[in-house]
Amino acid sequence: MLFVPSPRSVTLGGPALCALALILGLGCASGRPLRVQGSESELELIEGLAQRFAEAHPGVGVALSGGGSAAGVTSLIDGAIDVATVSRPLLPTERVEAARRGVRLEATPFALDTICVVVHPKNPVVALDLDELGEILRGETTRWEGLGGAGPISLYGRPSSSGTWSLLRERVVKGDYTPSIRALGGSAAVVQAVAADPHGLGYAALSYVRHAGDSVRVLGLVVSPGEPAVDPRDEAAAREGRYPITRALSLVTLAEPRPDAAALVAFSQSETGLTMIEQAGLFALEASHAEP
Amino acid sequence: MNSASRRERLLAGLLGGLTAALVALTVGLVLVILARGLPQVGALLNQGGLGAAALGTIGLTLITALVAAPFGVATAIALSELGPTGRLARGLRFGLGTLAGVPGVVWGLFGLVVFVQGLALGPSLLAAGLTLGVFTVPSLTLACEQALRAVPQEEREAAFALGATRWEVITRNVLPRAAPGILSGVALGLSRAAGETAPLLLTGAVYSISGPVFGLSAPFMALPHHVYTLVTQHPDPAVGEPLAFAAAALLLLLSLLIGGLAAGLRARLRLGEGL
Amino acid sequence: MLSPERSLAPPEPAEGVRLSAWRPPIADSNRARHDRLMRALVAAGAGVVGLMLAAFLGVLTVKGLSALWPIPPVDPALIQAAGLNAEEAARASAALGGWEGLSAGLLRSARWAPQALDTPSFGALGLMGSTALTTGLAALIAAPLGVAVAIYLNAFARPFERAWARPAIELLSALPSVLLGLIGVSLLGPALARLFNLPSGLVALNGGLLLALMALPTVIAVAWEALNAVPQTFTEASLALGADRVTTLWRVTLPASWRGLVAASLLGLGRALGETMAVLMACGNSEAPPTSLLSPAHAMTATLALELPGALRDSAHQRALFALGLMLLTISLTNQLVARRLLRGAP
Repeated sequence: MLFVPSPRSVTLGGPALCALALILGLGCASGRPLRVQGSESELELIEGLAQRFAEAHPGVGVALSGGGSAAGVTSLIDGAIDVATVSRPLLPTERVEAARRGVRLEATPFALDTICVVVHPKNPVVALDLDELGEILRGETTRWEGLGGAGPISLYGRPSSSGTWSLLRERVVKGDYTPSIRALGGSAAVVQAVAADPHGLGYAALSYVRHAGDSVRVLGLVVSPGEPAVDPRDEAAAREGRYPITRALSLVTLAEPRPDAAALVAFSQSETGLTMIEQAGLFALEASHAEP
Repeated sequence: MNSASRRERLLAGLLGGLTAALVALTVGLVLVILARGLPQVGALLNQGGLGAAALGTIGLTLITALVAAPFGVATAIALSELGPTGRLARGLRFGLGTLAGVPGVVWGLFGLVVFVQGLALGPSLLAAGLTLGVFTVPSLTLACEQALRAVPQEEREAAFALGATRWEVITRNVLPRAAPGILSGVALGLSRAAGETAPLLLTGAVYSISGPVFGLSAPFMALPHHVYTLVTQHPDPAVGEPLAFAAAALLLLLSLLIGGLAAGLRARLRLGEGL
Repeated sequence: MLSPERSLAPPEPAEGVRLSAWRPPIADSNRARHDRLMRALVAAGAGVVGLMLAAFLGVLTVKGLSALWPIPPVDPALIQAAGLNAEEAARASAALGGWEGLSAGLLRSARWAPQALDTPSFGALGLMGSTALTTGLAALIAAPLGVAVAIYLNAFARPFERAWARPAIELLSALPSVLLGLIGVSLLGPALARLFNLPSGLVALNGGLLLALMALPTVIAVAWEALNAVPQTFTEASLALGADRVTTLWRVTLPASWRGLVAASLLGLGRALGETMAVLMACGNSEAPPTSLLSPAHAMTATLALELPGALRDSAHQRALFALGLMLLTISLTNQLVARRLLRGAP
């Protein structure tokens, strides 16, 4: 039989234990940690960076969460976090909101990333026109037949808080996504879903697609008719801008950030940072600062 | 008579089968989670933030206990001993009863507006603990009040007859008799709070922590939130899913422990009856 | 007895609780003072709790109703200050202001697209449809099943079976929502996908089944108590007249306890309505309203949890989300009130 303490001992011991724990907790609060929030496309990379940064700067803690680029910028403007990780340029609405609150933001790009379009390996399609992709995502094309495959297209994407969602909408969809696209929590979920669905088509960030290896096929994109399809994993294509949905991943801070925040941004462009970026399968950027 | 009893047996068999299936399903779910999760807890405790999440949940539960238990028990005492039939008491009981069924996400909204933004605590362990505490109070109060009500009236009347003040009656006669029930109510409320995720999503739970991040005003990790983020945000499902099951197994163990404590206390209560 | 908090009609004060207000004066004034002080403290604690409940209702109502108020359009000077070009400025002002108030749009449109390119839209009908679908399915499964189990436990079960069933039901009700969501994603989803030949198993049916599991313990507990509340004289009389247990059930017990059974179903529905994590993880979250049980759904609770962290303070988006929260609160409270009314009317 389980050992059950007597009611009296729990009544006396319980509150005592709680109070002791609380006093200890109050007593050893850490210094104010660095709060980082934002894009889920970079989550793994930022987590690695944060861990190395914490090792290099003992005494500084880093708390990281996802939620999407939009959530990150919102929290930064609201003052709840110190560094936002975004995978797209700042939106006009965000800049107005920042101005409204007298907050000046500064974005530091630190890596180059591409958004990959993936399908199931059994799907015969290997490349798509930009226009065709736009039609599919807007819901104007709903079947694979005209494109070289067979069956209905089932779409997987991200929710509207995602930078990936936002960027793709701007550059390719140029309108609204079809309502029937499924919003999945992260690029990893999109890749997983497409790997399991022979009719699936999804968009995901490069590092997750690299993780998935052969379980999905990456489509090349044809920008202008007659030109060869461009593969998102091609570093040269990304750097030269030949792949249409390339983006810079940035760390956004206030124009006058906390010293720790500035240190984190600098760390992302240090030797260690660059190595980690390469290891994640992304393309490193030279140091540059940009007013958003 | 034969056909009647056959009908009875048929119905009993059908319904009994349903019940047995439900019990089996419940046990099966628990076993699946434990079986897929526990073996990996040891190996993964230092990876993937499991340790930090477990500590966070324990910390949250402590804060919830410190916030909800005093106020909840005090309110239960007030409702049961200090004027149980008055209009104020009926109104309060009614309010508690209806709000006990409000979903956790709505309490999370309240916590966001009042604790995170209003009191400017920011997304922090304290804000989340306060939110969970406030969430637990209605159901905890009602459970404790029932425990107090269960103490027979003769106890109180005898003590009054011997000249005790009302407070002495409460502390020396009613509370000791009701203590197992009260503690069981507190434990049940805490085990519910430990499993809530939606309020945490809105008040400061984060995906990962590096370096020293602890304290009341710091962000935190928690087991239920960790299960959620591992399933939806972890980059590699092959790694994320086992981690999620490990976190789920830990959470289940914690809930079972607290719930088991509650059940054990109730069993002691039943054993102690008839004295 | 099942855990106390699930018995919703608290027993009336025992006989004779109306103690006489007169008490012999306490000779020892220290004890009297101590007594008054502690009673005041306890009453203060209760007062704080009462205030908190009132604050809860007040805050949510005010924030929820803020969606009705118009949002003034953005000051053009601000747009200048942000350094936007003309096209960006136009988009920003379209998205950031000039609403007459969201109430009309919230309840008249099914298009929930808070960050759409041309005009953001906050139509909650689609979300409400998703919630109705998943919750309705859950209630349709949980109500009959729960009542059936309660009938078994009340009329046919042997004592040792009751002893096993009680903790099992409590165990089921103690399972956190996230864990069922995890089961939904990793076990139930692939199974549904194979069974129905779907691209993905994250559909309304998945969420509905999980919600039914969560609602079952509530239904069983309340229904069981309702059945137990039927006076034994009724059932004994029926059996004495020669009816077998099936007829007794059908003719006596169920008609006598129907109010309690309906209340049980309502409370189960209420439990299913409020669950967030299971539907968030297992239903697929598409922006289109669901067309069938096998299409993805996007419940109101899931929307709140997903989008609230990313909504700017006091923006139209945040106000719309708070309005959703208020709707949820209202539905939940109404549900509870009706159920309690029914329970009070039971014999």
